[in-house]
Order: sequence, then structure tokens, then C-alpha cells
Amino acid sequence: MSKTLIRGAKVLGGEPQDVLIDGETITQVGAGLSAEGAEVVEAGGKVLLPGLVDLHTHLREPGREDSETVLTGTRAAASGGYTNVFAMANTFPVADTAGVVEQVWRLGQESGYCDVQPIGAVTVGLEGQKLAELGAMHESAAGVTVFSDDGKCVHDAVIMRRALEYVKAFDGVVAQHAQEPRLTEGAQMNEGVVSAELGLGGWPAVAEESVIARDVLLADHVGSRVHICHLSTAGSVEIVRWAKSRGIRVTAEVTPHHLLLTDELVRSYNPVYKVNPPLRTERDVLALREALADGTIDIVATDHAPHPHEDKDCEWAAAAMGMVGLETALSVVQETMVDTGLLDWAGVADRMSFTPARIGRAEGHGRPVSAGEPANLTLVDTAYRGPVDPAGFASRSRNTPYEGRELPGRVTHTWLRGKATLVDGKLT
Amino acid sequence: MQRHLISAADLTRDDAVLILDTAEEMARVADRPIKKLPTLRGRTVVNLFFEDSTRTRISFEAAEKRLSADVINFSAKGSSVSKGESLKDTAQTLEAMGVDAVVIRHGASGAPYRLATSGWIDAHVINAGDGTHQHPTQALLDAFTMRRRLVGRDAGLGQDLNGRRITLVGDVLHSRVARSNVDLLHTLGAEVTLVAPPTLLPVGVGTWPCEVSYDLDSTLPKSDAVMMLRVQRERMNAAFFPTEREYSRRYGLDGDRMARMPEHAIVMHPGPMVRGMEITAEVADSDRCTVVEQVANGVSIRMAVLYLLLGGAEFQTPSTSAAPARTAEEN
Repeated sequence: MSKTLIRGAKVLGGEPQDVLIDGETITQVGAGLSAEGAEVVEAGGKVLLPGLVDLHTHLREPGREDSETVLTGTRAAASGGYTNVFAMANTFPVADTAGVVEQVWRLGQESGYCDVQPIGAVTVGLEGQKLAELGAMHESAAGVTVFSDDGKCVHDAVIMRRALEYVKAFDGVVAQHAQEPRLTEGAQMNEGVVSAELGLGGWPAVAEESVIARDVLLADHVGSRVHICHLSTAGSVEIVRWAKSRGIRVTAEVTPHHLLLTDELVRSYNPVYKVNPPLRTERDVLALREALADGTIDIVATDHAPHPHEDKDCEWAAAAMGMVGLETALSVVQETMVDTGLLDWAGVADRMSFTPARIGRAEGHGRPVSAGEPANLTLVDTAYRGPVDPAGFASRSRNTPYEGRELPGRVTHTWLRGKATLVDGKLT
Repeated sequence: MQRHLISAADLTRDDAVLILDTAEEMARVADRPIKKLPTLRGRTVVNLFFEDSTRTRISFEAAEKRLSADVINFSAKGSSVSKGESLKDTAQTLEAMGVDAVVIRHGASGAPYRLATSGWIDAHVINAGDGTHQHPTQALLDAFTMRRRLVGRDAGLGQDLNGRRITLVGDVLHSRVARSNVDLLHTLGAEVTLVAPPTLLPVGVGTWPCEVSYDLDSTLPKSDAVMMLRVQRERMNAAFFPTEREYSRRYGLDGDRMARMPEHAIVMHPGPMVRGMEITAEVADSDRCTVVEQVANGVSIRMAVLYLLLGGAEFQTPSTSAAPARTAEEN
């Protein structure tokens, strides 16, 4: 069995300690541990976190292997410090059967860079009409517990109610892409001052908020838990805060880009800023940061959405929606939450590892950094600061909104069950 | 020197007055027996039209030919575009053929800005209307028409529209003409009022440098020019207003309403008009209506823009953004 000693790492940002990994497990955490028989990684004051867990990733395989595959996507995940990603169901074919989710799950196992937990579609073909075989997907080898039509909203209230009720039988959760379809026909960007000037179709905040309001009330009525994908507005924060105060079992995620970027960037008409839900206003950004800090928003999820170059190298209206995010997520969170004093590293571990793993019922992930736990770890050089260079991405796609932007933090090492997937910033 | 004309908001007051003054000179060419200048001899201009627009394309073509440019007309219909070619590839193909300027009409807001700023091509880009964003030469020809009628052909030279009260009526939400006019008229010192049912005003209009009213009748007596915007009948189906008749009753311009305007005030329309909807035949055919003049002035304005962009004369100020932020303080 191979041993690794991580020497002098600030575990969750605390005092420097040594962490000994033996095989797949953390065997010791403490000061001055013996390096005998172990390969030593000098952490030199870097921050050691539990391996990150992303509840919202698009790996594109099967169907759009030109933008990402399970292999390239999991390599990107390892580069970004992730050890477990949840793969969204909007592939071709849609992950709405046991066969497709098992295929994605197996590809993840074979990649060896990061565990892949498939998400199953709520409805057949994401069409919002008929429930997919949720139980079959749960019972498959993939063991699906999170269900989502992400990319589309489960807008029919009866279908949503039934889905919420049905997955209670196996402790599943429905992750809702909250977007009222009629209010967002032809929507191109956040509806407000900027859309009025640019003449781009508006995506009003109310289209998100009204669906969230309905769904927390439905969850309350049927006693289910519901998860809100990529919450993006100050109004949505208020609704989730109210729901939680009533004891409704709602959880919510925010993307890194909604914590940093605003719709002012759309003035460039550069489709690299085109994303769904759209970039909102400064007021929304500040409300989202505050909500993530106070726990109203439970987690950060990337909504990593790779697209080939040609789908962004065009006019705004013709461009695809979405941004890659796995390899920049932690840096953006450091920039917006840690360096601003809103969250400490223990808080980051909670929002990016412990809680997403708990929501997704991911076994062996999101565990404390202590003896006896699986060695899923990530080491971060928090003192680093530098420009984002998409050319260095492991993802097959380059559609990042941060090209050239200076961001703090760099993941130098990632371990998946004791095996290094990233060493000194290089994939193994 | 500014290389492109993308948005009316990019023009300074002096830029705009220079274009209007140059257009007056160009208008004199139209009065000559031979309506042609050698200015753009040997230069090639392509009219790249992704949206049908007979009047704007013909107006640009006439302007280009009067300046002796070589003209290529490219319509997306039946071209490689309909087979899936991207805007970038289309533009690069045209530039490889030695095009000096691209006049682009596109259904997607921001397409001309992308063309001008993405490093795809080096040619000058002139926006001939993009989506619901901007139509700067339309706003310039409208301002030119207003200055001639309200200030005077000769008296207007070097002048702006300071203090003139201009009312725009109709579908502001879907109108690139309205956006360009608000920007340019504000720059030229005019006081702009938008009149429309609330459904046809964009969320966020409150930050524009203009007044907003839902009541046409109270605005008419305080207007030096009233510009009627086209209202497409399809809007009714999307519940922007209940019926065509109700729209006409509340926001259409008929003879009775025109009589409430000051005597010197003019009626404008960017065309094409929907007679019986936003404007009655009586008004459209009256002496106070400048629709036909606007068309003639369009050629002069487009000559002036091409002359100033390609002919070497300098615009006063460079601009880096397509649409500088408007602030509430500008109200």
C-alpha cells in the first residue's frame, strides 16, 4: 500500500498539520507525523480541503463529445479540486433511463479522475409531460438520487408535485431549473436597464422567483425536499429564506459566475457572457454572496457548461448559453467570499464539499479531514494570484468568461481515494 | 478617428452636427443634372442584408452609387447563410474579395457591434439596423428632417435641435428607431417624450434620457414633431394590446389629434406605415407629414456617413463602447 504524507497543510484553513494517507484512507492527522515509507508533499502553508463536490455539471457525453466527454470533464474536475461531480441529464440521448445513467456512471469509473454521479431526468426526454422511470434509475448501478430536467423547467405544477412525492420512496431529491417558460420566450439576458438599451429579449427575475415560490409551497404541502438549481436573484434569496424559516426542506445552489459577474458585461455583446439563468445586477450579486455566507444558499455548484468555439464565436442571439466553470470555481469563490471576509475556508469546505455531498447523498465524499475517512482531498495555494489562461484548461471547451482576469488561488494537488489525480497543478 | 457607425449613442453633438451639415452639401448633389461625386471611386461597399429591407437597402445603394463606390448587394436569402454559414465566415469571405466597408442589416441585436469588434474583419462597419437595438442612420435622417423643417435649411447649418420638443409614439419596446432617436435627439439637445401603452415600453425605460407618458392627447400640444412608430398587427396576438381598434383609438394619429398639435409641428414616420393602425390616411397624406421627405433625406445622410467614414474626414471623438451607460442623472 502506498503512503503519502502531506506536511504542513492548513486543514480547512486552520493551523498547519500533517496528514498521512495510507492506501485509500486518511490514517493520521496531527503535528510532526513520521514520513517513514511515505512520499512527502510539502504543503508549505497551503490550505487542505475535502475533495470538492459539484452538484451541477454538464459532461455532454453521450451526444456532444465535441464539447466535452466524461474523461475530459473529469480531468477538468480534478484540475479544479473536485473528487465528485453530478452529471446533468440533458445529454443525447437524455439520461432518462437506467441504461443511459449506467453508461455515464461506468465512463466515470473508467476515467479514474473523479467520481461521476449521474443525475436522472425527471420527465421523459426533458419534455415535462411524463415522469421518467425514476425508480429504475435509482435502482441501477448508478444509484441515482438527484433528478433534474435542468436546462428546462418542470413547469407543470402537477408533474412537479408528483415528482416531489414519488422520489420520497428512495430519499431522492428533485433539482429544479426555475424558469417560467412563457415569461422567458425569446429571452436573451436579464430584463432591466441594460436589456432595454441593448434591445435584447429580457429574462425577468420574476420568471425564476415565481417558480421557486410555487415549488417551496409544493414541497411543503407534500413533505418533500426540493433543491433549487443556480439561484440568481435577490428576490429568490428572499423566498428561500422565508421557506427555510418555515421549516420547508429546501436547499439552493449558486454558481460562481453569479457571485462575480453582472449584466453590464453584456454590453460587449460577447456571447461568452451568455448563460442561463442570465447574469443579473450588482444588487443581485451582493444578495447572493450574503445568502451564501449566512447559509440561505447552501452550496456553490458550477453549472459547468462546455460549448465548442463556434457556438460562441458568433452574434449574441445565435450563441449557446453556458460557461465552463470546474477549473475556476474555487478561485472565484476565494475572490468573492473568502478574500471579502464573508466566508472562511471551513465555510468553503461546507459550501463546496460537505453540504453538496449531503444533498446528493454522495457516499464517501464531503467527509471531514480526519483519521479513518476516505482520502478525497484537495490542496490549494491560496497565496497565488494570476490571470486565467483557457489554453491551459483540461476541459475540451474554452468558453470561460474569465479569460485574462486575475483571480486568486490555485489547486495544486487533488487526491481521489488516496490516488493523486493532480500533482503540482499537473494531471497525473 | 471613429471607424464604424454602430450606435447613435456613440456620436457626440459635434459629430452629429457635422454629419447633418455634410448631408446638406450632399443634398445639393441631388439637385444637379449629374447626381454623382467621385469621392469613393475604387472603393467597394457591400450591403450585407440578413433581413429583408427594400427601402433601407435601396437608400444605401443610391448613396453609395452617387459617391461612385463599387457596390455589392448581398442578401442572406438563398445564399450560403441559409445553408448554415456563420456571420464570421460570411464577413471574412466578403472581406477576402476586397471590401472596404460593410453596411449590415441583421435581425440579431449587437451583430454589427460583434462584426466591428471581434477582429473578424478590418473593414468599416455601418449599422443599417440590428434587431431591436439601433438604427443610427434612420435617427440621423430624422434629425436632419427635423432641423430642416423646424430650424431651416440654411439657418440650420451648424445648429443642433436645442429645446425642440419631440414625441415618439408607439411600439418603443421592439423599435430600434426609437432607441437611436432617443440617443441622438438627447445628444442634439432636444426634449424627447415617449408615448406608448405600458406594455410596449421596455422595463428599464425609466433610466433613458427622456420623458415617458401613456397619454397621447396631453402630449400633442407640447410637441414640435410627432413621430409615429410602426405597430405590427402580430403584437396583438401576444397580448401587448387588446385589439387593433383599441390601439388606434388610444394611440393612433388621426386628423382630430393632428389639429391639436401646434401649427408648425410636423408628423414623421420611419416607414413602412400601417395606415389605419397608428396613422390615418388623412394624416399620412397631409402636408405636415414628412414621410417622403425622410426617404429623400435618407440618401443624403447615408452619403454623408459614407463620405465621413471612408472619405478620410475625421469624426471628432473615438468611442470604445457600443452603448455607453445612461444614468438617471441624465433625465
